[in-house]
Amino acid sequence: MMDRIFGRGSLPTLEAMLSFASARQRVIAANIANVDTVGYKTRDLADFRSVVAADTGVLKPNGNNVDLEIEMSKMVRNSALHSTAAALLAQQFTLLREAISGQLHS
Amino acid sequence: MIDKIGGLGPLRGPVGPGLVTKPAPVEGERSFKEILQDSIKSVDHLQKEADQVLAKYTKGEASQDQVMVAFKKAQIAFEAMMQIRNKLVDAFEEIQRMRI
Amino acid sequence: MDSIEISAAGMRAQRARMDVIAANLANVDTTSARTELRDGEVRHVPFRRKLAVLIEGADGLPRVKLVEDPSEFRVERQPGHPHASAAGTVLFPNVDPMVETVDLMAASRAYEANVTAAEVAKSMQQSALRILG
Repeated sequence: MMDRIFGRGSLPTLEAMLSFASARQRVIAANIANVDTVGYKTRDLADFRSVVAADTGVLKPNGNNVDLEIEMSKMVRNSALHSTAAALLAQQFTLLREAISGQLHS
Repeated sequence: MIDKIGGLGPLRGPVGPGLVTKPAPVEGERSFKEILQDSIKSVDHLQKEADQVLAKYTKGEASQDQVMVAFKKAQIAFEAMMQIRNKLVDAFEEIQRMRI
Repeated sequence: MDSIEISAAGMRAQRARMDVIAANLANVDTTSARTELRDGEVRHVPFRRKLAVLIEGADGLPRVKLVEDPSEFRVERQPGHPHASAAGTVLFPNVDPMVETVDLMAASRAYEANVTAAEVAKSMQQSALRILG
């Protein structure tokens, strides 16, 4: 019964955005942790599931291509995406609860 | 589903002892009892899912947001079920009052 | 393994690197780390520079491998030096303070980047708590 309600409107999209942002944070954290690892190539999320090698235009003598500046700015943008999705999701849940109870929640 | 919670709709069938134990379904729609049962199943399913996600999270196989979302959905489903149950009780009590 | 654990591994790797650099700098003048017998003469062997090489582990996290820098020791003529050879030469560690300092700055910057990543991950968890309402 509830899957019809939870499958409506922006809810599924917001959940997907949240998952994507979490997954991407892990990938970015791994890139930053491996900024000096010999031969390590930067990874990123192509879509919601696949991790692919990313081009950075940087190549150090030890074969590492992590660009710290790029990773840091990716992280900031991704974090904003996550906060937005979380806040909107929280609001959507509040609206659902208000509709169910017939009362406004503060 | 939420718009159906609002009103009871016109009563059909004979008024009598039979009505107290088993309310007649509103024509063309499911009975409140069926909706409540459906809702209880939903709550049970979502609570089980929340437990599963939590177990995965402790093993590092699910993210923290997935846990939050799963538990919130279970809570909302529970609240919906309580609302349906309350409406059903209100309907019964109204019918009881009518008998007198 | 969540984002914070990944960043913690990154911090550990950079810390290990900084420790190795600190040891190199502390021993920049260690002309006698050990002694050896060579051609019938007791010779003083200076401190040899170490490197912390980061290699990728099976879990995708950096692992620290300790390596010795094979480059030549610096030779100076100082007959009066307590660690001088019979020929009057002293061997100095193959440590260049300038190189170590630059490496230290890079390791420090990388360490801080991991700290920032951990903080971002933590704030994401905080904002996710709001979903519970």
